[in-house]
Amino acid sequence: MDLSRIKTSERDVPFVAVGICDTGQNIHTGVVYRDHETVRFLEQGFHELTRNEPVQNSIHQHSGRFLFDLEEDRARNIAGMCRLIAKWLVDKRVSGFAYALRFDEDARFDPFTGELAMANGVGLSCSTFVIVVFRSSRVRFIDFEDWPVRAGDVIAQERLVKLLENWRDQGRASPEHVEKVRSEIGCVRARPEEVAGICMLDLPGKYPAAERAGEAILAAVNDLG
Amino acid sequence: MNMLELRTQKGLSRVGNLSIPTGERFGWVSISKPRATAFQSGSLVGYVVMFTDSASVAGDWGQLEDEASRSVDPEEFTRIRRWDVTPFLHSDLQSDTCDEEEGSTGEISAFLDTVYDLSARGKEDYAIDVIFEFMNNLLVEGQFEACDRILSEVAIARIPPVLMVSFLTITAAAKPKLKNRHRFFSIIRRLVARQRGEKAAQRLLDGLE
Repeated sequence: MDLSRIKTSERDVPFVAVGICDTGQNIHTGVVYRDHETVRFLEQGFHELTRNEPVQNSIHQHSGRFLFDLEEDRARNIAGMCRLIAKWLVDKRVSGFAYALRFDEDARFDPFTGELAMANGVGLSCSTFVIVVFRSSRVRFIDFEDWPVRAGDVIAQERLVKLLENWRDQGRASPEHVEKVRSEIGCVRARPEEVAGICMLDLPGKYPAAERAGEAILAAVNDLG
Repeated sequence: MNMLELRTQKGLSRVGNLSIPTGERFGWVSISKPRATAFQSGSLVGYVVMFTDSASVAGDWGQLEDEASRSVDPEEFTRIRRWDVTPFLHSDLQSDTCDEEEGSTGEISAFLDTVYDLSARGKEDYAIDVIFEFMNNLLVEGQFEACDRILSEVAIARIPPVLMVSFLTITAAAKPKLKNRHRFFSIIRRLVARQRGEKAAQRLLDGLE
């Protein structure tokens, strides 16, 4: 685990990094990438809420850290993929992708359709969004084999479904979608801090190394206050 | 696809009211090899691609009425949307509209020239955007033959490894439909291994075969 890969300034992000922040309500992750002169935070905020704001307008509102370590030529292309995804969102005038808990192993931003393709899933969480961005760039980011479901995962999933129910009550999510996501409780979950922690490991990130890296990331975020 | 080609009839030193940045400064572009091409492609309204000795422009076109006469920062060029080509319709220009098939030889040639030009000027990140958007549009439209032709025609010696990775990344999902892609990958792998060593080539190209 290489803690020197943790950075705190967007000036230290040459092309792409995984961002991690404490929003005050939960730990959140997304992709920090260079959009030419601007460094942006591309994130799955929640249900149909995918944001692409300059870092100073988003992640710095919270305690944030950035982690990266990739071959430069690959990192530049992942940043390009982020720009393409952001452009799709603008062109298609959609507010974002659906929210879900379970990771679809086949999910990716599909160059055939210019859409988010999910053969076996119904949406993305902030963690799986990051994974899908890397996957779309053909980077083997995470390996879920031997990844257990932990008690804390189920508690977090139940809390997220509760939040989705609130959105349903506000007319921001359909009852059908909420039920689909509810049925996913108990699925394998990569926590936001683990997704960020993978950046300190050799790819693809695996369990239990990712869990230990995630604990180190949480400590680093807490230190930042 | 609607393609608008604009050619000069005689020497041209100014293009409409649009200030085009040169390599070093703002100002009118001196076009010694005048050629401007605008075309519609996929979900994009279009590109304006100009090839001159000193400037290369890749942006969308369609509107920008209020901004048509403003100076534009060179770094903004690939970010501008819906570019109005009207300013290019200078009296010195002869315009003609013709229908050209998507992924046509002319379009591919213009695309590759843009990539080479951006690369030569050290603007690889803009070249990545051009590659991703152009190839993505062809894939969305099912233009696999055009994609395949690009992979066989791209002059690898004129692009750095980062752009080789771009071509491989955006075409990876279409691998079964692109018969030239395997050869393209093999050439790049050998080239990168020779330049950077076998281990670096493996790391750079992991997941892209």
